[in-house]
Order: sequence, then structure tokens, then C-alpha cells
Amino acid sequence: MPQKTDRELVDAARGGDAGAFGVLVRRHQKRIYRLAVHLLKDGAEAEDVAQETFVRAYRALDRFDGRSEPFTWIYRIAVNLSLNAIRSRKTRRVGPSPDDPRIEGAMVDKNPSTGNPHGAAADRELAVALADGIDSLSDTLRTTLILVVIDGLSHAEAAETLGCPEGTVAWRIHEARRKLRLHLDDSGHGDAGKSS
Amino acid sequence: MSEKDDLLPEPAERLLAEWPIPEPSDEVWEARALAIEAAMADAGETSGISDDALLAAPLPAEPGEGGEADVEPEPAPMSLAELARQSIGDGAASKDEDFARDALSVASQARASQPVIPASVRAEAARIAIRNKPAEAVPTPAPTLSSASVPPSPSPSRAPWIASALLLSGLVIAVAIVWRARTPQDPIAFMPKTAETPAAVAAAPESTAGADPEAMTFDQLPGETKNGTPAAAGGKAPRAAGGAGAVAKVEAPAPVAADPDPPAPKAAAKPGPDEDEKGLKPAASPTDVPQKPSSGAVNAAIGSVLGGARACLAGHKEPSRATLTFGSDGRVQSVAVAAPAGGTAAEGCIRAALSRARVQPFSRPTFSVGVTVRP
Repeated sequence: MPQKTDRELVDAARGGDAGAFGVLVRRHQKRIYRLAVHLLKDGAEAEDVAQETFVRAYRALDRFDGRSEPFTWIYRIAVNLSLNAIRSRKTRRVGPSPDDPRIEGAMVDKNPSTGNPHGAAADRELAVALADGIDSLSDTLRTTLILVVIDGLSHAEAAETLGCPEGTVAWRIHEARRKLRLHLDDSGHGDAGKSS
Repeated sequence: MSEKDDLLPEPAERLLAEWPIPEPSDEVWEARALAIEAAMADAGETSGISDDALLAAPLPAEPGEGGEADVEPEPAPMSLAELARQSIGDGAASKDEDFARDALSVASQARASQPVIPASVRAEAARIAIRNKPAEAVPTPAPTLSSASVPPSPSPSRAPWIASALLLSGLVIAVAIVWRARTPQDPIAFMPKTAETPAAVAAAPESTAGADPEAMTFDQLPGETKNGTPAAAGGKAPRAAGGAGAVAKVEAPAPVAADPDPPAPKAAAKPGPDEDEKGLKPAASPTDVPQKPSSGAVNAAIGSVLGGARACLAGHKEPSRATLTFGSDGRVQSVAVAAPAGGTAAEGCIRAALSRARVQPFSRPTFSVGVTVRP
């Protein structure tokens, strides 16, 4: 039996089939969580945002006009909730914290048995520098960069998610990369590291 | 610019493209999906952010941003000092010049404590600038005033319109003059209202971080204000009025004011009854029962018992997810613990620990919230 498309699932959910939306949840929850982790830098908060994203999307299903893909629509909700969560924080988090899930994740993938300790330390430094650089970007540049470069959305999908033209997405990515490159240069991870 | 030129050093690009995030097991994902489905079935809302804000385009344009959506930026409103200088430089009437000088003085003194010059003061200064320079369009935030920039030789067909515009402008100016005459030599008669904005803004973080979660609702979270939701706007002012920010709000203009009669500026600046009521109404009267517990109350309640729940996971490596359901009396009705702790001895321990959480009573039948319990 062919897998139902997102649109078919949304239509079914609108028709009262909550199970159809459950399929949509299982299909996209990892990506939404991953997006929220990068935006929020906090696994627990990201989990809450991911949950609320789907709950709010389900309750707003009748406002989905079908002009965009369901998953970009859900992404938009996740971005809005994440930004709202950031603004609601009592304290502003500057730079990656020791338990930043992004740093943890960047290191988890390395195989300790094959890597040398110096390489692991360098990888970690690069991850910290990169995360720090991303955090120093404006919300607009950071979010666009995360959607496109880290999460792999196409410019068209990111434009749909963010409600802006594709050209704007391209400009933001260029600008974000330019600023990141400056940041990496300042932190000693510039072009010298390109050959490594 | 080519995409290749944009690229970061290769290791950085590789990390960006494949940035892994620690992810739980499939069982945990399934438990989370079930929790979402359970929350979907719950009738109430889970957050104060409105659907409109939730579905709106999320981000502001970046400065210097290109793209088709770019619109001609509105000219930045002239600063109060610029408007005042213009009025003085253009040979304003002595009364206007006095106002302009006073405005300059206010601008310089207020700069330190008042980062935002309110629209009302700008508009007043703009009126004078326009009146003194009728043949030249002056950028002003008040749209009705643009009609005052009249071409020197109007064509006959446009004459009636221009005459009407002049009449209207004259009326506006007359009202402004009368209004100013009521507060002689008091250029900062607006200042109490002026001070309200920064004071409210200054008070906002405090109000959010304040130790009174009972009075704070989701609608008052600072993130909501950015979206400009009415709830947010109405939510902050009362906190400022009642908190430390209120003191700053009233007292900030005092050192600047040369008026020997302090009540006068207050009276002049006193908002209308509706506005006053809107600005000073408390966030929630003690008798009001909120629809749902505030985020602060929920965070505080969970924070107070989370340590106990964490202790239950001693020896575990993976965090566990629990869903608390509060009853309308503020007590925990049920706690669902998902894998990996779910079904183990730790489940009962976590349940017992989290069941001690309490929030203020609320009107909805239940309110559910997810919690991650880390070892």
C-alpha cells in the first residue's frame, strides 16, 4: 500500500481522522525536534516545542490553506514557537553552554577508538567556534541558515517557511556565511583549516 | 557572488551539513508521538501565543536585505533634536522657538534615560517645523500633516482640495496651539506619558523574571510583545505601573521639568479615562481564576519537584519523559512516565516526586505539560 502524502494525511486529519495526523507526527517529529534543538540550544526545551508544534498545528488545521506544503507550514509553527520560547527566557544565553546538545551531538558522531585525542579536541573547538558564530547571528540570519544549511531545506522550502522570496533566502545565507567566515577567522578556524 | 565563494572552510561546511544531534531511541520517539496525540485530544490550549502570531511569517527583514519583497523603507522619523533645530533655524515665531529650544533641552536631557522619543512629542515638533517651512515637504510620522506641504502655485483644478487641506492643517495647528497654551512653558508636559514606554520596557524583564508567577499569564510573556499581540501590550503596562518601573515612570521627568507646579504636567499628561484604566489595571484581580496556570507557575511548580524526580533516575543514562496533568484545583491529577523509565521501578518514584507539584487553581478542567527528567 503506497504511503500517504502529507497533504492526504492533512486532509484526512481535517476530516476527523486524528490517527492520520499521528502519522504526520511520526514522520516529521525528528526533523522538528532537530530544528528546535538548533534554534533553542536546549534538548528539553526543543522537545517541548516539538510537542507543542504538532498540537498547535493540529488545532489550527482548518487554517491550513493548502498553498504551501504541510511540512513547511509545520516548520513555520515550530520556528515561531522556538523564537517565542527564546524571547520568553528569563536570561539570555550567550554562546554555547557546556551541555549544549549541538556540541554534544558534534562529538557523539566521532569514533573515539579511531580518532586521535588531538583531532577530537580540534573537532570540538571547531564545533564550539561554529556554534558560537551561529549564535552571534541575528535571529533572521541564524534561522535561515539553520533551515537551509543545517536542516537541508531548499531555498524554495525555506522561503515558504519564512514567508519571504527565495532571493531573500539566498541573500541571508550568503550574509550568514560571510559573517560566520569572519567569526571563524577571528577564532583561528579560518581558511587555514580548509585543507584539513 | 557564487555559492562556492560563500563556502566556509571544508570541515566547517561538513559539520554544518551533517550536524548530528543526540537523539533518543525509537521507543522514546514513539512515546513522544503518543504524548503528542494525547495532548492533541486535550481540549484546551497549551500556550498563550495566538494562532495568528503562530502562523505569521516568523522573522523581520535583515538590514540590507535584498529580494523582491523589499519595499521602499519608510523614511526614519526625524529626531526631536533635528526637528527642533530646524524650527529654530527657520526663523520660527518666538513662541515656537521657545518650544523648540525647550524640546532640544528635553532631548538632550532625556537621551540618557529615555531611549525613545514618543510620537506625540515628535508630532508636535513636526507641526512647528512644517508650519515654519510650508513650501517644503518635511518627513513626519504624522500622516495628516503631509497635506501641509503645499506647492507654491497650485493649479486651479486642485485648488479646492488644497484649500481644504490648508483649512484642515490650520485646524490641526490651532488645536496644537491651544493644547500647548494649556501647559505654558512646559515642553515636557507629555513626558509622564513619554516615560511610560521605556519604563514599561524596563520593567518587562523584571515582570517576567518576577517571583509572582500567579499574576503572570502566558499572554504577558515578553515574546508576545514582539508580535504585537494586544494581550502582550496590555500585559506589560500594569506590571510597570505596579512595580519598580512605575517609580521611574513618574519620577523620570522630574529633574528635567522646570515647572514649579508639579501637578500640572501630570494633569496635562494624564491619559483619558479609558487609557488610564487600560494602563493601570492590574494584571489579574485576586478573584480572577486564570483559564490555565501561567508558564511561570508551571515552571516553578515543576522546578520545585524536579530534583526529586531526577534522583529517581540515579544509575540511568537516558532521560525520561513524563507528562503531568494538573486538575483545576492546581494539584497533579496524573503523571505518565514514558520509556526508558516507564515500566521500571523508577516510574513510581518519578510519579510520586512529580505529583507533589502544585500550581494555582485555574478554570479549565485539566492542563497537561511535558517534562524531561534527566538522570
